Amino acid sequence: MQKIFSTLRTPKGCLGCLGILILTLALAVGGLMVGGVVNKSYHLPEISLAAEGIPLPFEIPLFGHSVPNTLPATWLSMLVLIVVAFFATRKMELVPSGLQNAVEAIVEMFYNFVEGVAGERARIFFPLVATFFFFILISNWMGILPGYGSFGVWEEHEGQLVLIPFFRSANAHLSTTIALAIVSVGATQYFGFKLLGKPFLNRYFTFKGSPKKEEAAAGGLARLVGKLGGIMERVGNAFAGILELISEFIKILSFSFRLFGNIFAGEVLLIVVSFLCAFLASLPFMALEIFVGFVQALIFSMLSLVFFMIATAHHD
Amino acid sequence: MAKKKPGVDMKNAVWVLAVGSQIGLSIALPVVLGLAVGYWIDTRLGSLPWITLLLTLIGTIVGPILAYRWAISTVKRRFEEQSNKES
Repeated sequence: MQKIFSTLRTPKGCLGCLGILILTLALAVGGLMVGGVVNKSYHLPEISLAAEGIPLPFEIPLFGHSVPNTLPATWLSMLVLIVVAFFATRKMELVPSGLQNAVEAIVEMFYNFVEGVAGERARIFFPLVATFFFFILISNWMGILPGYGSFGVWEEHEGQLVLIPFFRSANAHLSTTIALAIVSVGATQYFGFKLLGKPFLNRYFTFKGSPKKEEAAAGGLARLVGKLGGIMERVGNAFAGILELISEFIKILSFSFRLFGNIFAGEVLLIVVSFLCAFLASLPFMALEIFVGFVQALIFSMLSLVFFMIATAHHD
Repeated sequence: MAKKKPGVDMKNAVWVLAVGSQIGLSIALPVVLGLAVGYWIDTRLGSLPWITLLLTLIGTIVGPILAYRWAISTVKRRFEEQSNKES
């Protein structure tokens, strides 16, 4: 971090920053001029809760004539991750340098984070949790890139020309986040079975009462009361198991709605702000979106980790 | 960075954020889930208000119970872990 700042302070770094600033302004002004030429009928963009479908000239089985525009974005973020991972691990050296060094530093930072929460079980959970984190982080951050939401085809929709962008931030589609949530909750069950075995099912289906209460009652009326208490406890435990089962479904919903809501709200916020004032006003909101994207990725992976930990904890 | 500025512990901050938002959502979502499932069943059976009302009511009762159980168990585990680490 300090190295970056010290490089920026040199004349070369200052010149580079100035160049980037001028380039950004030139692009913005150029875009403003070209935008009027390309499409004269200028109106506000359509904000749609569902991902828009990109029309295709041919038909894909099961999909029909269109593909949701979060699909290319998802593939793009996957591609970025795969390419970075490929080039970082192609020439592995014991003393890393360049890209390998950078990737190792990031992965190690996140590993320490996971280890601080999960302790010795971090080695089992880390691959999945890190995949969640990096995929969500990269797709959130890539959603802010220019070209997302602005580059697409015009299509007639209810008598109006509507821009169908080719890319839309991957997590601004409920299907993506539900898929991630199902993987996370499914993995919770898998890890529970793997580490606890059959007793894991006792979380959901249990009719056991604590044996102490039934033995403690001696005889007569006290025994009857004790037995009744035992039955009540069994029913209560069974009810608690059903509650656990419901809460698994609630978990899928809460995982997916939180991520979707935050990212989609960010997209809408950026669109609205940039249409209120095209220059510089959206800059602080972009910084906010970078922060929100990071925090949401962290929260998703952290919560998955907490649930893995709870599912694999030994009950007695 | 974190070493120079004491007071901001990233792990605890994220944990509080994550668990807090999960508790909030686990109160709200059972109601929505009950409403959606009830409405779906009702439109199938043609008995419009009743099952929707019933399941929404169940959702409003179950939500806080879930949040309470989950919050208690999670926070308890957290304290146990921290006391284990310190000792």
